[in-house]
Amino acid sequence: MITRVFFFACALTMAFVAPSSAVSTVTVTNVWSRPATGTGAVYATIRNSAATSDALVSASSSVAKTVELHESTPVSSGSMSKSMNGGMQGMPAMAMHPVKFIAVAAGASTMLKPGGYHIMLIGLRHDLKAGESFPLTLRFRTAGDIHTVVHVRSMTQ
Amino acid sequence: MLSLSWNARRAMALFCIAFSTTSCSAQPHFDGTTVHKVAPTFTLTDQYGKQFNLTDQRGYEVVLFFGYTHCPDVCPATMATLAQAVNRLTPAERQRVRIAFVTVDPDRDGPAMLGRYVRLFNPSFYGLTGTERELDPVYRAYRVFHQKLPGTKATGYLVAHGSTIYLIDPRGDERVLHEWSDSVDAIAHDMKELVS
Repeated sequence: MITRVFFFACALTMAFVAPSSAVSTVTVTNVWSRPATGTGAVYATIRNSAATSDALVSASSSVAKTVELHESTPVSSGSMSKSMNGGMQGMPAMAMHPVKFIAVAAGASTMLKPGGYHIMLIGLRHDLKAGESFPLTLRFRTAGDIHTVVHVRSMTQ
Repeated sequence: MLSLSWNARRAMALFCIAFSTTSCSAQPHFDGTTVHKVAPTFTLTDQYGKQFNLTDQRGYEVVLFFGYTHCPDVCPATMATLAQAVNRLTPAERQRVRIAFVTVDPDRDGPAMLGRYVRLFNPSFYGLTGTERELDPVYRAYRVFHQKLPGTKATGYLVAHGSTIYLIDPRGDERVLHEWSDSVDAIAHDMKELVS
C-alpha cells in the first residue's frame, strides 16, 4: 500500500513538474537575417517533435517596432484583380501577404526561407549590419515562447 | 599548278573548318532564358539625383531588377544574389557591368532611400526612380507586373511585382532573362558571357 501511494505521488509529481522542466517540443535552428534598413526579414528552420501539430503565432524583437508573419507567393495569372496594362501577362511576379500563423506539423519541420514564409521586421530601430546578432522571441500556440538569437549574415553568404 | 591549287584548296578548307569551329565555340551559351531584341531605352533618376539613360550605358552590360525598398524578402534576396554574382566576376569584367534596381514604388522610394538601400548590397549598384509618368512606360516596355496590395497598419501597402532579372549586353540588346530565385552560379555565368 505504501509502495502504491509512493508511486502515485511520484506520478503526480512527474505530471506537474515534467512539462515545465522538459525540453521544448519545438526547436528553432539556423536563424538568420540579412543587412537591412527600414524593413527586414528573419528566416529559420522550425522543428516540432510533438505528436500534435503546433503553429508559430507571433514574434517580437527589440530591433523592430513591429514584427509580423508574412508569406511570399508567386502571382498566378488571373489572381490579381486588375489587368496588367495589357502585354504584361506571362512575366513571372511575386506577391507578399501577412499570415496569422505558420503551422508546423507533428514530427515535421517548416522552413522559413526567401520566397516563402518569413518573419518580417518593420520599423527597424537601427540598420542591421553583417555579423551582428539580435534577440527574437517566437510564440507558439502549444510550445509557448522560445527565445532565440538572429545572426545577420553578410550579403556574400 | 594543279598540285599547288589542290594544296591551296586544302589549306583553305582546313582554315574554314578551323574558323567555323572557333566561331561555334565562341557562340555564347546562356543558363537563363535567351531573348534578342533592342532593350527599350529610358531615362530615370539615380540615387545621386543624376539622370540614368540606358542608351548612355552602351559599352556596359546592364542588369535590371524591378522592386521596392519596403520589400523585405524577394527584393533583398535577389539583390544579394546579384551582389554575389558580381563578386564572381574578374575586376575587369566587374567594371563593365552596371546593376540597377528600378523601383515599383516611387511614392516611397526617392533617391535618398534607394541610395541607402542599394549600398547594403554593393555601393556600385544603382537605385533608379522617377515620376509615375516616367516609370510607367518602362514597366510597360519590360512587361513588369506591379500592383499595390493592402498590407497591415505597420507595413502600409505592399506591392506585388515582376520578379525577372534582365541582362542587357554592352550593345544595348536585351539578351538573357533570369528569375529572382535562379542560382548565383547561373546568373554569374551569363553575366560573364555578355562581357567576355
